[in-house]
Amino acid sequence: MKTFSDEGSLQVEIQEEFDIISARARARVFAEALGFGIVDQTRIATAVSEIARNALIHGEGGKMILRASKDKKGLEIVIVDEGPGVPDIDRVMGHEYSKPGGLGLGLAGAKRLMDEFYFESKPGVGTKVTMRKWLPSGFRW
Amino acid sequence: MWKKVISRSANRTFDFMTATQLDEETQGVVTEFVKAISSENYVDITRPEYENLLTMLRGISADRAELGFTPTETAAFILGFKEVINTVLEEKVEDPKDLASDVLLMGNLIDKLALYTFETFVESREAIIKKHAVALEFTNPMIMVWDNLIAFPLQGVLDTYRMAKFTEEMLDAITRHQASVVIVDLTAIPTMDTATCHRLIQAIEAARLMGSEAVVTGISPSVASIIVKLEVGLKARTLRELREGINYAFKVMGLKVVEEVS
Amino acid sequence: MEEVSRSSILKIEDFLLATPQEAMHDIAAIRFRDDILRRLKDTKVNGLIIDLSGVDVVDSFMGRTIGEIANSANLIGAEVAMIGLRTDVAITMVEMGISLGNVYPLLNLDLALKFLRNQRRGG
Repeated sequence: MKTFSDEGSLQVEIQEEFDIISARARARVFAEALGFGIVDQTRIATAVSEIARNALIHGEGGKMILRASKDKKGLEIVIVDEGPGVPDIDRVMGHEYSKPGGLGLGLAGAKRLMDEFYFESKPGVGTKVTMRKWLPSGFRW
Repeated sequence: MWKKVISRSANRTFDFMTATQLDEETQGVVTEFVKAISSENYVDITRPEYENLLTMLRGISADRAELGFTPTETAAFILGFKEVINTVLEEKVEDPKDLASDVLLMGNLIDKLALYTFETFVESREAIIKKHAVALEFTNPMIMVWDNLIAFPLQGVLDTYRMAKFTEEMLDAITRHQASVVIVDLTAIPTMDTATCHRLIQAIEAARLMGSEAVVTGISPSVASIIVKLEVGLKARTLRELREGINYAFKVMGLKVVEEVS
Repeated sequence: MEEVSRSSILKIEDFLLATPQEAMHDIAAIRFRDDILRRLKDTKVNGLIIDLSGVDVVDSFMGRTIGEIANSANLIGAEVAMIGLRTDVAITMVEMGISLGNVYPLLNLDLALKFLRNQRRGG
């Protein structure tokens, strides 16, 4: 069971347009520091861009927390907002929300870029997206 | 004498080493061994008096691992030494009881040294195998067919991990060589799983977004059926052989091969 | 906060070369799109080249914006070529499933210009 450490964690506010850029730049630097290659860094930055935008536009603002796993082999990104939330999680990824500008496209895409992806949302409470990516595991014979 | 024992054990030592080299090795070990046991410590090889000997054995193991010796052949090297010692003891020790205990003592000592040699040999070999595996994995040889035309004849077992690596290599090569056409030859690839096929299709799409047209040659019936099952579809020109791919690429690039009229 | 945009829209031969620089937040991206379309109309060019070499992330919003630029340009009668896409961005876009719409991806500026000249000739 991999655990993530609060030590060295980074928090970024997402309250306005420019914060999306900040968030993805920070995520990229954090990933690079952990040893992720360029392509993985871009995957991570892009996923953050998508989810942070959702938090800003649909979630009315929120924050991102970056953490490294205790063994420094993985990265966790949590983006949480206290917006209206989404009533039906299954429909989010499905057809209903896949219209351009809707939640679905970005979420489904971000999910494909990351190793673990958890979406929790409660109407009236907010939304929390947890994403994790692990460093490729060295040699394979 | 030790050399005779080694050659008797019918291994390939002389395939890899000259008599002189073996001389040096055995001489070196004997010298260090004598130095070590002069300390009267016949039991604990972790003590400093054995350090030089162990270092020497480590070097010998590493060399043998590099040369491709089997573990047994390497162990035989040291165990041959046991025979030698026993012979020497037989000649020198008068009392049978003393002889027995001496043989036992020396035997145990040399067994420990043999184990040490064996262990370091195995470590060296694993490190070498890993190094080769890494090198093999990361290498997808590229042929610079012509200016702005590159080809990758893929080989071996392709899994999603290798395909991901190949994608990066191919796209970097497209940029480096400004390749308008890239040929991916699958002639040596008998089969691929669905996920890997999917990755290949993605790689080709990525190449397209960067401005390069991909041509895929040598798709086997097995790979073809996997591709067909995937909804996405292979958006690339497909041809039977690498040669046809090059022909097609030349046409696309407006190039022609003309025979010299002598 | 006043940002100095390093994004540029230049006239090159008979075409426009639009180069978004660095990270554009959504509002800047939309403004850039509008700038391009206005210039296209004003200068009456037949072709547009979008150079993405300065872009390190193309997410669904950026993808959509580029698609909008291409559609509008087509309506005005201009073809759109795209150059400079980075390896890591190309891979990420394909994995995410982001499409850029009606743009013609080309290797470099030279080829893009050749392409647009051909298009103009009705080729």
